[in-house]
Amino acid sequence: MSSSIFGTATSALLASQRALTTTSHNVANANTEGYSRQSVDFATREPFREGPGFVGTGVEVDRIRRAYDRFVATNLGSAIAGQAKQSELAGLAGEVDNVLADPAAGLTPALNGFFGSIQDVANDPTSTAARTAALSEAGSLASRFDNLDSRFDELDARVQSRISSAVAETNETAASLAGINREILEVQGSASEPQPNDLLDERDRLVNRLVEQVGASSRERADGAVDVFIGQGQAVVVGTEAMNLAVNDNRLDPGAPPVTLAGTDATINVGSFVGGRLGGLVEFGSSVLEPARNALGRIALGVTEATNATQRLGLDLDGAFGEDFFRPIGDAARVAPGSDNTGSASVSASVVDADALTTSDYRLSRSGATFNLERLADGQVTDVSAALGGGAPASVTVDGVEISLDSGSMDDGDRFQIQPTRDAAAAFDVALADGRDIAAAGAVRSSVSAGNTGSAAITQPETSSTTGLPLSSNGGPIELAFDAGANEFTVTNGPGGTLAYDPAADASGRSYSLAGFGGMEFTISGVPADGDRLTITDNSGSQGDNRNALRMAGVEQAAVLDGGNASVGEAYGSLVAEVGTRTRSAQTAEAVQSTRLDAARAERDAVSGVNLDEEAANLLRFQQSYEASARVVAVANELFDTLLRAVSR
Amino acid sequence: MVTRVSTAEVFRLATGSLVQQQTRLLETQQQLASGRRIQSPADDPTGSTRALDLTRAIESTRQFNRNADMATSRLGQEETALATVTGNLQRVRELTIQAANASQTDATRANIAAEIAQRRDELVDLANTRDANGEYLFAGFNSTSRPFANTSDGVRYDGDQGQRSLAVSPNREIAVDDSGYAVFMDLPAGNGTFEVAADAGNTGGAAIGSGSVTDPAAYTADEYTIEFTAPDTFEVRDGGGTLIATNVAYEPGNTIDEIPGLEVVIKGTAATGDEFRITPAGSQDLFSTYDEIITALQSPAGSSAGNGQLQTSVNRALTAFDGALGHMQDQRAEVGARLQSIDSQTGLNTQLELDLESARSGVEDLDMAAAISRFQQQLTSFEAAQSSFSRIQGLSLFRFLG
Repeated sequence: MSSSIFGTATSALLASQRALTTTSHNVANANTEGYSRQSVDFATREPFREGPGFVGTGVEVDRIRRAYDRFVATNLGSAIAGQAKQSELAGLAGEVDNVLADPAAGLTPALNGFFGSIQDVANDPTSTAARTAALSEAGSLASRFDNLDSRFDELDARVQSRISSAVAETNETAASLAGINREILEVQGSASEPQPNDLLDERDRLVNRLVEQVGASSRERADGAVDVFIGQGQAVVVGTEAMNLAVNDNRLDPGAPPVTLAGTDATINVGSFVGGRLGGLVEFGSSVLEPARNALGRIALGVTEATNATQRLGLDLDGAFGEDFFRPIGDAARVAPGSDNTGSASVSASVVDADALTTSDYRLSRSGATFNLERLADGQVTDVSAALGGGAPASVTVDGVEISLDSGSMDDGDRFQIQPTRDAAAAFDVALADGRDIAAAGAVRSSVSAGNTGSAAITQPETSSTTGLPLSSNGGPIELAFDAGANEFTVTNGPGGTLAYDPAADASGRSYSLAGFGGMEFTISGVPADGDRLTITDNSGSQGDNRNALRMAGVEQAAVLDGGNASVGEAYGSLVAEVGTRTRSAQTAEAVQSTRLDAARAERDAVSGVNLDEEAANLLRFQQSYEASARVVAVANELFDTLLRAVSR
Repeated sequence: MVTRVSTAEVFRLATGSLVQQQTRLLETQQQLASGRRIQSPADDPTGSTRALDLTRAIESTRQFNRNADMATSRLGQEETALATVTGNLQRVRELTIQAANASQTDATRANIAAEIAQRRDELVDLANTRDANGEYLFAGFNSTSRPFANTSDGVRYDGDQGQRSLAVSPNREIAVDDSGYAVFMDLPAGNGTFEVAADAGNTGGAAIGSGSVTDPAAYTADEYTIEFTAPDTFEVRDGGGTLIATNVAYEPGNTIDEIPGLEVVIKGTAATGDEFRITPAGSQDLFSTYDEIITALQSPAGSSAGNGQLQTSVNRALTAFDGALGHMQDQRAEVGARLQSIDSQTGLNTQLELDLESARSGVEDLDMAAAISRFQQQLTSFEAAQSSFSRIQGLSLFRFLG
């Protein structure tokens, strides 16, 4: 009898000991990330039949249970993935935002300074000091562009290195997970074996880490191992096997996506649907950084093209037509062939019309006999087969970008990536070396002849090109002599012919445009007498003329971008607004995801977390149970002693 | 509802909310320190773009006012030069009237001619006025080379007819000079419609006045000749030689209105064969008007014929000076009008700048009172979070064990 009491008490001692061990394990791991609270399930030992009934034989530990809820764990995983992605995105977008944040360091003051200095040249066109100041303001504008672009470049480099390290970490984690899966399979073998709780926790921790890195989803198999997938079921870990993600270092390469998964059958592009931290990094590049750099480049192109166009129309201090003010950067467009191209085609691109530019990149591809140019920002496809299908050399202009097939031919499936504006901000530079070369004067000037007896007046002509100029090498000064009988001006030199002018109707002013001779436009007014002459000559020697400088200063207000819808300043404003909005929405999304993650954590901890007060209570409970069992041993011992004493008497 | 709270969660929640409150507190502190509501575009994308636009508008308005200052100073210099020219003209006009006085002799007239010659040189210097930057004011575009040159044939204008404008608002350009051609070279000759002249070979002492237009509709621009067929009769021919009037009786000082649309007065004793011409007025430069009267005053006028020529020249010169004074008056009025419109534009610009500044401040600047009270509130709740955390973390059953 006492032996059965001993047995029962011993079993209770052992069970209590195990429960205390488990409780202390809980206490020890209260702060271990991903640890699931364990509890001991007690069960009565098999009783034996004795006489009239079954006699209990004590307690045993049935199993050590892990507090775990599959649904809650999955929910936590997806919250982790969402938060990791948005936090990465918001953090990086915030950095772009900060680059543009300081109003004193942005592009606006530099643009103001430059165009203001051109106004100063207009105020005092003969002053070399004003001209030198304008060149130095242009230099500041160039360095501001350069500065902004290099900040973007730094960010880009950082994003690339983070992508690389995220991929490396993912691969390492996937390998570890495959290893844990193997261990689980070894210890567990079948569903009937006891669960290796701490191994399972470790497994879940690794799964969550993968989820955080790449936004994966997981599926637990019956044997306790877990499979991990990203995107639409591309496996990263299957049982004991892990696949490798790879980064394509040649980012311009249209043939290879940024991140690939080396699967069993083929390399899969996962760049577009990874989530988690890697997804945030990829999305930051494509939706914040690259559009911002392109937009900045487009502004640089707009300033360059509009200023140069005006500069070319005017005369500098030495009476020569203006040379480029800023270095032409239209051909800074980047073109990269696909690494898997098989054709021999050589393709180049240059910006021919900054006004028509978008901030998108483009991809030229051939599919069968069709040549398509895809605008990557919105996916709009232009069929350029008609222009390029005939073979090299051929070119086509889309959105202000001239794309030339210079030589060779494209094979079916060949691709080219075209970035018209990406490098423009970095390439922006001042071309003029001497302030004298700023073309402040207009190309031609008009005058009325001193001997005129009528009151005819002529405005100073405005030119819109340099065709047919200077007049001295294209027939000489243009003379308009009035013929009162025919009511017309007879034109000598220039286009020749006559210009109808009826003093009775036109005395308040009639405008003319001489095509072919700088496209010059002027207005004649007043009442000319017969034989009165008006003359248009080259504007040589007119150092005090500021007409072209005024026009150049007007570039600041002119809508020279976005199809005539935005001035350069406004384009910069919308870049700032776009980055600001993007950052703000990323920050909002991050806040939402963080709240969701907090809720998911709380939910998981409600199931699996360790509450030290609870453990303290359990500790007391099992301690008391242990003490009680020990007391039972003592009682059994006393019973035995009583018996011995009875026998020894 | 979460029914179980893990100890780690308690700490995580508490520290999480502490950190969050601290972040908010810091944000408000940064706003207070910088005085700006928008720390980065993400804080208010629309607002920060608007602030950029406003900054740009403010900067360009300031630039326009700088341009206006420049324009004002240039026009001020032109006004000064024109005022001096007007004084010069008035003095020469007085001298001419003085010279016409019957008490003058050839010698005294030569003295007056010498003074007018001085004035003429002064006028050339005035026409070659330079502005503060050393540019010639009256040279058109060609402002770096001397526009008026003295030659043996009079004064030659080497400038052009260009006129410089400055921008004083995005769509308003104001001329800041006038070419020497417009100011000194392109003056109306005669009375503006026609001019009169006495034939150099006249032997009588008659002189013709400048005349006037009586009926612009009837007047036809042509070269008319009044020829004396006898000392008391004359005839009138038009440019084609056709007789318009014949055998008209001459009474010195009477109005001659035989030519349609105009009238002239001839005074003095005429001789047979004397001719007076009336020609359509072209333009005349101011310097040649000076030269003409100087030459006339230097010529001997003792004879009756000489006196007639002198009187005609004086009449011509006085008309020309009156025309020139009117012309200068017009130029000065024009400059004054420009100065005035620059003034009003500057006023507009300054007001605009103030409005833009206040709009920008509304967009960008912090409402200090609200921010300070927010800061207080955040500080209070932060302190409350800290103290409640210190209370909660003290609650552990383990403290009561043992």
